[in-house]
Amino acid sequence: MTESVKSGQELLDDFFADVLGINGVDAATAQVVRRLYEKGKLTSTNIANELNSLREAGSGRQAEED
Amino acid sequence: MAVKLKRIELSGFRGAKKQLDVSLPAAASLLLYGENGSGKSSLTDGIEWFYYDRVAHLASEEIGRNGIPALRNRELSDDEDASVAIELTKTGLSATKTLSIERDRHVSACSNSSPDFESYHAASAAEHLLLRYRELLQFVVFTKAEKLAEISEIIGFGEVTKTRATLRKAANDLRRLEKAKGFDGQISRQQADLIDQLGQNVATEEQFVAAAWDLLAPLDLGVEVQDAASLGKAIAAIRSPADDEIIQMEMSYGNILGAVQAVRDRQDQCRSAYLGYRKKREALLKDAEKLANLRLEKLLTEGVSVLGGAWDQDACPLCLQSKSRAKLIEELRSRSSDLLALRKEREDLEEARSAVGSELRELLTTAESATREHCLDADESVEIKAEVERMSVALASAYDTVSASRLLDSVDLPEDLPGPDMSELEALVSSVEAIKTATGKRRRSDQRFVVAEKLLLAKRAYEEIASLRAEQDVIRRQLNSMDCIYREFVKKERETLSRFLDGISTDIKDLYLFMNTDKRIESIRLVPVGDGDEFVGVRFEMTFEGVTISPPEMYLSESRVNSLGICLFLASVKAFNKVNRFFVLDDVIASFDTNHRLKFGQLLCERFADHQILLFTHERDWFDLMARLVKGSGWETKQVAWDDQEGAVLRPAPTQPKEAIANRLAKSETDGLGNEMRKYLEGRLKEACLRLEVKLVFLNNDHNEDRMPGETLPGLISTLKRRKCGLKDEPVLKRLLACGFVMSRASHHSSYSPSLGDLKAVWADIMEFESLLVCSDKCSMIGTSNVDAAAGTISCKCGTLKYGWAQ
Repeated sequence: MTESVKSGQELLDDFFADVLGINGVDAATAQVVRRLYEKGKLTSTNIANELNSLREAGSGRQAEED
Repeated sequence: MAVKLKRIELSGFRGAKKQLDVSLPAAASLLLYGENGSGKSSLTDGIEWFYYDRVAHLASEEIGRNGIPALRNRELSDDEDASVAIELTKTGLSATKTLSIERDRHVSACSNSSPDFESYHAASAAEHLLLRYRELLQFVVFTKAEKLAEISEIIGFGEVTKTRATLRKAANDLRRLEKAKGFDGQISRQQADLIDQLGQNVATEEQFVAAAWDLLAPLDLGVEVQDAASLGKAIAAIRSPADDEIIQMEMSYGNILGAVQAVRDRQDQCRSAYLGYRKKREALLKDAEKLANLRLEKLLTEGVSVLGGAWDQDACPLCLQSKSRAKLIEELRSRSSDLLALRKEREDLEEARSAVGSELRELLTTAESATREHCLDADESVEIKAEVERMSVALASAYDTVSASRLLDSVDLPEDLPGPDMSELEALVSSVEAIKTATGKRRRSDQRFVVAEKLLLAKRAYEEIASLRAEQDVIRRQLNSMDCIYREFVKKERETLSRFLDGISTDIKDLYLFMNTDKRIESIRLVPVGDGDEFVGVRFEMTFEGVTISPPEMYLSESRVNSLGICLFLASVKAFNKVNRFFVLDDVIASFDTNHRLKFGQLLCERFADHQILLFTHERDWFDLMARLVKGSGWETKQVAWDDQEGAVLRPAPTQPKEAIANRLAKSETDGLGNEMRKYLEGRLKEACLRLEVKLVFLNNDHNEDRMPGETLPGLISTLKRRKCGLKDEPVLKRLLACGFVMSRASHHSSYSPSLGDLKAVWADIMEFESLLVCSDKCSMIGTSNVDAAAGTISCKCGTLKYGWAQ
């Protein structure tokens, strides 16, 4: 039975590969998290900065439309 | 293909003064006997150092962290190398590791630098390859946090735990940001302004247009306002550049008013968060032991970061001792994980500081934005400008105080949050409201101006509400997503960890019950211990006759706790050793009684037949028992002995007692032979009593083990009679009772000296007795494990010997 257990690394790789498919998750946010994981830069500071950039980019686009 | 050992050679390493060369043809398993101090554990040390760059049991403050200084044989000169050479079944992976002295430092080198070997070595370092007696109890008696750390280490969950913390923090950062932004307060203020201007609340564009039309209609502009475009045209018709300038000033004052109100309204919230942080910090600073450990934790964490980044040498950056960088990182992580509970406390404190910092940062941003409003350039705004700047400076001071505070230094924080004075803020709100109202006063006799003013201010408030709501929605969407990601991650982590624990629990139970046949044990489990959504530990639970007990060492004997430790090791070998198919057991049965030793031997032979086992022991009885069990199975049996000239040397395995006796009879060597025969018979009788569940009077401690034929033989005969077994009437049993006299007298200094003929007769009886119980050396004795209740028979393992056996 224990032969089928995932290692920690496998769990992480599988989780972030499927993060976009999690119910209720915004695609842009999920992509930020996955991208940072794949680059080996998944920290809370990096997540905060990337999400802030997303918000600013979104409000910038909105301002242009207005 | 799983890798096994073909050869191990030590040279100048530990007890091997010269060379200790152990060849394992066809990757055979090895049963190695060696008395204490003979040097057999040098082989274990060599394998440990080869694969893990350390010898843990030698690590101490005096010797050094990894025991390295103790590895070279003490008689080796400084210009000679100590070495461990390992030849493996897979081509290209064999290597020789050397330990030399260079400029008073121990320097290790490896002969194989190929990518395949590097990859194999790194993978092997994560596997469980050896077990020593002293390590048996370790896991069983670990605290629950230590068990979780060990399990996490075994299955590589260190990064999983770290990632969970990262995701949780990211979600909490967003939660804090939303709270700090104070959207609800800002929206409320804008709605109040909107109502003030329009005389009613509006939620949609249609409602805004309708409310605007209510204001415009009395002006008789000759235009119909039905939508935003026509409203815009109507407003343009009543505006003038001069009026726009006044209204812009009012809007600017409005921005300042909003900022000051925001600071005023959230001051208490900030103060409360600050006091909470201060209290937690003070409590931690008062606990000197916790403080010392937390300071160490930071060093360990930073060490991992440094080693993973700029430092690329295989040496400790502090003491410069040679050390594999990968191993150093592993050790630091292991020590760091010991401080799990303290780390949680520290994280809580950091969270509290971040919460206060976030609030203050938002207020500071708001205040600084207010200082840049153009209305403050007006002459009439001088005093307000000074007050707004003072508010901003006070907030900056508060923010600096909190963000600069070190969590673990002893500098006290101010008792109260330094920041703007509440009464000054109230006064500033009044001043700004007054000046705002006064700004358009001279034009309010003009109805067109009044309507334009109201509509523009209302439009600004309406747009600001929409902007705030949009910003709030984005943050909430991101926060919901991070919460979903975190929850799903925790779920997956729990599922995987629980599955691992369930799986390995099943294996542990299976192995344990093989060794300890006790039908009263219903389950043995490693159970996760949680604190909310986090795992904080793992504990052993045993269900015994419907009652769950934890920890098991409360009720189990030392022998059974040790067997639990062995079962965990063997279960983890099965689960996680993917690269190597060998393991070493070095003197692990020291506390086992005879029953456990036999079962343990059978466990290894039956359940790990596909593994290469290196089994070391200093106990002759156990060695002999195992030698019988593994005979004909392809195992190598050898002996390590100590030679004053050579150090640890390899010799042929000690002759089995049966062969030794037969050889001596053949050579007519009678001296001491009676004693050897007696010991042999005692061993066989004890085994027979064990297998046939013969009941004997209980004796304390070792006396229970020291049963003479005078006790065991009558006990055996009694059991055979009770079971109506065909053996009960065998004449050899009575002859053995008589043989006891011969062997006893021959074992002591007495006037009676048995002749060769006497001894041959005794031996023939012993052999006949043995042949009744076991058909060959490759089979097992008849025993209750081979009882056919339906047929009422008992047999040897292969069934060749079979007798009646009443229930």
